[in-house]
Amino acid sequence: MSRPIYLDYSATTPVDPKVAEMMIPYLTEQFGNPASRSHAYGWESEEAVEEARKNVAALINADAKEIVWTSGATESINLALKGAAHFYKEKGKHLISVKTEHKATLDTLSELEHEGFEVSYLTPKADGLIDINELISIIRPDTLLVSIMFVNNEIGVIQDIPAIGALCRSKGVLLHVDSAQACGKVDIDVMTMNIDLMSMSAHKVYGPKGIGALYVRRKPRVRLEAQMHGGGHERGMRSGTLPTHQIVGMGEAFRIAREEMNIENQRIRYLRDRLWNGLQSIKAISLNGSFDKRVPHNLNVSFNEIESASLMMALKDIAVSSSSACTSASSEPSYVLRALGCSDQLAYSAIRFSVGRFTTESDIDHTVKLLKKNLQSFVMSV
Amino acid sequence: MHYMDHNATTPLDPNVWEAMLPYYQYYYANASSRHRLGMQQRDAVESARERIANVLRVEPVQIIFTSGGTEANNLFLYGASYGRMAKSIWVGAYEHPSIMEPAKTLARKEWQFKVIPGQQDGTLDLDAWQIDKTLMKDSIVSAMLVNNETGVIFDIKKLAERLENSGTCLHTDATQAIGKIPVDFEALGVDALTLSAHKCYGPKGIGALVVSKRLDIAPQIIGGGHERGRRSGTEPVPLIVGFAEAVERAEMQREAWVHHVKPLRDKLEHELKSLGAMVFAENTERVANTTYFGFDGIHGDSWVIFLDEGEFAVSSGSACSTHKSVNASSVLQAMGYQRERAETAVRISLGWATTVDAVEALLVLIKQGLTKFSKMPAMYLV
Repeated sequence: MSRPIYLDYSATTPVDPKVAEMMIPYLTEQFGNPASRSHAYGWESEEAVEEARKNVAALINADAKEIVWTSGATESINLALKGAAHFYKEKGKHLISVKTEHKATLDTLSELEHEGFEVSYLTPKADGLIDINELISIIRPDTLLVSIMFVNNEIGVIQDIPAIGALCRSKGVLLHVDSAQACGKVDIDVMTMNIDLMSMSAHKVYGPKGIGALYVRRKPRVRLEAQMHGGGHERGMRSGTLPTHQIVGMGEAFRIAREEMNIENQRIRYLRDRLWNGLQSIKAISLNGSFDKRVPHNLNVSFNEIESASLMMALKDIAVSSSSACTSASSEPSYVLRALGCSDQLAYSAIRFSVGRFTTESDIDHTVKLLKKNLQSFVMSV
Repeated sequence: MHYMDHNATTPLDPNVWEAMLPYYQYYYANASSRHRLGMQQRDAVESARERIANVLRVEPVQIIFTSGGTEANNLFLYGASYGRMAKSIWVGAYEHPSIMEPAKTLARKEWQFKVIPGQQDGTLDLDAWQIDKTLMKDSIVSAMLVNNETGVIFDIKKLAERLENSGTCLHTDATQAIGKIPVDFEALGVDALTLSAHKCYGPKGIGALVVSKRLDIAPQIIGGGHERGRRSGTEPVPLIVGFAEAVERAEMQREAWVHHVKPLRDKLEHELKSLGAMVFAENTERVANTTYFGFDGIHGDSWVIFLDEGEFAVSSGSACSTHKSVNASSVLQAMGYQRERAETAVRISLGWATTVDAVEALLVLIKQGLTKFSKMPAMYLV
């Protein structure tokens, strides 16, 4: 049985062979605990960790000291939101986010609501973008923090973070940005964009699973209440033995992203557009979210006239997502599309195709061919 | 360089690496994705869970994967104290910072924090500890199974018996125990247990909290509902597969491991004593690879640096106390040793790669060190 064509790069990416190559020595030979201060095994590991920290910082124009390692974006988001809310709770109890955020943000905010915080959720416009004027209107004197994702995981739309950042800074409100889907896809500059906290993941950028980072601004300084306590690693913000090979992998993945992002985006945009053009002859197909303000990797389309079961059958040799991978245990229609005002039918028949580094033109052509063949009765005759 | 710091971290077993490799090279989908590639990953995660469960003689649902021992310890303390509405927290005198620090944090809120006293032989003084049943009701207790510094094995079963019917919830940190002594969840009589992969020839960045089916754990990292809602975040499949392989092998080879390291450790310890060393917890039941000793008037850190220059990696205390490396061991102080004595401590922890030649070479070096240090003022500090 041949393997399905992988068009699910937004769910996770394979580890780039160059990344794996960098990781291997830290798995097999240089295995010291970076916290071991007493011998060369420890020092070598610590050095590798600090080199990786610089590479992650460089992609987002941060200082290496502003990078805190975590086990992934979910932990980063938990640390950013709970950490900031708890630390600054005397300042206010109001938080702002968007209905289309990732579950890691929504669930964490819901827990904070149980603790007594108040959260306002913006409804995005039909194109998935938020209305900055609406954000202006709901910021209150007691608003602590705004949490907005840079790039949406389902529809790939890019929020106007520079404008949001400038607004938050002028109002004295902290800005947390979930950039799990943005790193390596869009230019990020935490300085000019006025980002205070930013969650990142390695496995969406051809790095390993199980490692992520949180950017924590130092000037002006953002404080957090640590969520995991122990040996005081990561300047007391996150304890636990640092997984050297994981960190080295994330550093290399981010280094490659910085180097290749612009060229890679052009190639990926070409493939994504080729896919979109190829699907045009399928009846009643529609795009979800803005086409222009969208990462080139993402295509989220609804097949209006097609039952989701037959759609899944048609797609069985293509690895795609029918909703966010992280909530796919449930068969609820996508809450992201619902927030955009999509009908149930549109939300149920939505498919996310996500293109990546190892996608080939023949993968795209084969996907189009397969879909047209399996959905024959829905293909318009020319 | 001879690595003799296996209690800080271990090299990755090549067999474990071999098991992990396909999950870096070939299988990479998100285990939460519903397509065929995702389901393969899900199967790998669940089969790993089952393998670990078999070793501990528990059911797979009892295993919650975490990013390591520190997170598992934090998850237990925060999760059980919030989940059970516990009023008091008791921890053993020698606990790792990843137990001590969360316990102290909870103590600053509404929880009572008590320490089960230690004693000279490195065990807990259970007889001196008066269990007040009314106070113990709804409390949580955490005591490690094997101490990371002394290697002392604690009688957790006896502790569990003492606590029977008191309404407490008992946790043991078995991070240093797996592969060294039998670890049987039911036989120990605990409600929760912490594991870490990188202490038993597995990868860094993965561990687990094992819980009894009765125990309510309030999740600490949320968003997505992974691990049955008890710990969210994309599963790092290669690490999980490596973890299972490592735990299974460590248990399978446990007796052979003891057979390998014990004669080496005993020889080393015997010679050290004849050179005038004092061995901590010498006559207490300990794991087979660890010796913790000191020479009068010579600082442990002086030994560590001297031995490092002579190509031996050892430790003077827990590697995890990153920011207070100059402090004397809190474990030895809990055993009742004065600061001056505690500061002499050197920990040597052997592993599979240790040879009799290496031990002999180490002893030669230590003799040279004794000559060198004898010409220096007492308590030669670094």
